Amino acid sequence: MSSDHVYGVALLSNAMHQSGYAPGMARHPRLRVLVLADDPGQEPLVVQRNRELADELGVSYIEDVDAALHWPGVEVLSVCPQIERRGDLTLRAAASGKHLWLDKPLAPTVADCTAIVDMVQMTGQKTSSVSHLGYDHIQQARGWIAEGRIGDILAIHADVHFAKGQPDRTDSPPAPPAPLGRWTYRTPDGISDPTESGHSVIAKRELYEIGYYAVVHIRYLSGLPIEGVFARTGSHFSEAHAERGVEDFATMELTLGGGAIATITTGRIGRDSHPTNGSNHLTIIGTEGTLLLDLRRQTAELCSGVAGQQGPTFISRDDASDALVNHFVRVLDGDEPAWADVEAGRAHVATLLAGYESVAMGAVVRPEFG
Amino acid sequence: MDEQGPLRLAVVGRATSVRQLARRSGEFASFRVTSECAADDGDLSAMEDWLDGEPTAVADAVCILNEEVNSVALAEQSIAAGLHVWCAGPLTAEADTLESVAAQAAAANVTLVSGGAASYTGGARLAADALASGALGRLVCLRSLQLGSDPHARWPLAEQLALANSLADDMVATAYAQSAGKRHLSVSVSYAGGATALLALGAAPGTPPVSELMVLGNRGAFYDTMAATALVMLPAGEGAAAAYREEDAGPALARWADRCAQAAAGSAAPPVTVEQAREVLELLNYVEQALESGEPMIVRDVEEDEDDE
Repeated sequence: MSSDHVYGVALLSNAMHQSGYAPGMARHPRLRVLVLADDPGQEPLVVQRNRELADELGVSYIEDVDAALHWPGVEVLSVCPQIERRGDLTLRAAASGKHLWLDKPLAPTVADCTAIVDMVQMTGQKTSSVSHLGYDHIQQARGWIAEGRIGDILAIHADVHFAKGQPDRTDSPPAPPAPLGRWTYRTPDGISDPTESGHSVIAKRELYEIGYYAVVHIRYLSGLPIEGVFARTGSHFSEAHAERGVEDFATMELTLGGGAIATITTGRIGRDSHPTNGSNHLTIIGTEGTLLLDLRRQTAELCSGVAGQQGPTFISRDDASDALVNHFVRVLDGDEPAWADVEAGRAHVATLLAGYESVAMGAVVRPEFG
Repeated sequence: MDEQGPLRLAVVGRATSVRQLARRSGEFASFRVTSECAADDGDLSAMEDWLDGEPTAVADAVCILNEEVNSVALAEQSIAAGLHVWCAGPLTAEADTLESVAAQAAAANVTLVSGGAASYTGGARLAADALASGALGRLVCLRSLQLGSDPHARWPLAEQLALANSLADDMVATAYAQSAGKRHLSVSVSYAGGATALLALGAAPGTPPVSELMVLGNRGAFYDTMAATALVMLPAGEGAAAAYREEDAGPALARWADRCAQAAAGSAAPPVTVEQAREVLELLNYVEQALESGEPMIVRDVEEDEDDE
């Protein structure tokens, strides 16, 4: 594709994170947002959010997804509905043959993901899932690992926390874990946002929402498949999560291919529990060196007997969302592979769902597509 | 033993640890180091020869800083000589052996301490104080990362487990472990109240030793990590975030020895009781079983306990 081609974009639903991505797309000179669409019959809050975002971007809002799929000039679909609807809507989007920008995680079930992967393989469009891989220090680390500066990876320890919301710091015993199926609980008034999620949520499954980022980091940076998952939940910050049997904090231990291992702590810990926005800290131990990555300080520190470089590399603070959009355009142009396409998205979902299964069974679970 | 002055300490173990304790002992009124025996190769025979003399003429207690976990004979010999025995890590890997040595100590009216020194690092004490004060609320999760240690040596792992147990102050429910070859070990423990501890030990290629501790409570958090010097975050309305400095906390071994001395004088509880030390040894066995089986081990069936109640 020529470097001045402008891709037309249709936004599908602003039920959750679309409003976080769409402005970056609208700012990009190679993308033009043309329309926002959703299925009819959505809850009033979602309709309101759809209308507000369409107004902000100066585009039409229509309650007809099929019309948006065939909207004149549309080549790209940004798919961001509720998790519960993500499998169906993403599959319909994939079937249209348009390129896809996909909210995270990809879909609520592995079967949904597989249907999407199969459809994309058939139609051949480009896909990119949302992640934090756009941060420069992550890309710097990936480069160092690829160059062999820390040797073979032995272990990765990831802490990804959102210090958001004002939890009520419950001491109540939690309800038994709720079965999967419902991912998000809105506030009764549909307006307030106690979790500071940006989409009026009182509780949602944070292993799926926030733990996702840790799984993506581990898989992307190691380049290794995830062969075993052991997870724990059961201790809470928020009463709203505890009383619903929905986790706001979790730990995961992963067995990676080649004998490497990884651990994760993740969750929504409340705004008073961290000096900035919550830990986003990775320690990567290799046979020849160690990498210390910290998002909040924007540093990547390489300690290696192989490399000459010692001490932290301070990365200029950038906007990871813009970096992700820039990357997406390069993917659309065919200049580079996606950091996280739908196949990677299926692996992320399979790993996270294996975590829930592990919690229920109290055992190690092998993800089907880890 | 001189009841009025500081307890006189004979210290044996790795030379760096022995010298560290001797150097800092002047900062504490409860003990002073009177004899030093370096045993970097794990050979305790020189100390055993010393015990064959008249050790009580110059010492009231033997402090073992030897990380080989092979000090039972030395401990028994010391107890027989009428000396207190304080071992900074696990004295033995066998719970029954520990009980036997503890019985000998009780019969000789001397104190026996097996482990607990890792709980007296600056960060660990600050975290413990913050938990005890209620500033952190109920423990949700703690993570300890120790790079630069032998992942398959019992001493450092036992010490990390003792630290986790002391901070959690709860019954262990399950244990799980993974190992990346012989280079890195990850252990996790869940507690009856729902808290989780993640512990990692291993080599630190290309970097000096790394020691990190993160403690998340449901009302606040403590970070002693590479990304932030030790921090205690307090919930809003209870004061601003308080920053602490590691050097204010004092050296771990000397603080631990000070507590042992206070326990010997009867003025404080020991840093770790024999029962707590036994629980750590039993937990070590569960960790080994988890490593062998690849599955988590149920240490205590919490749900069954609740049904019984």
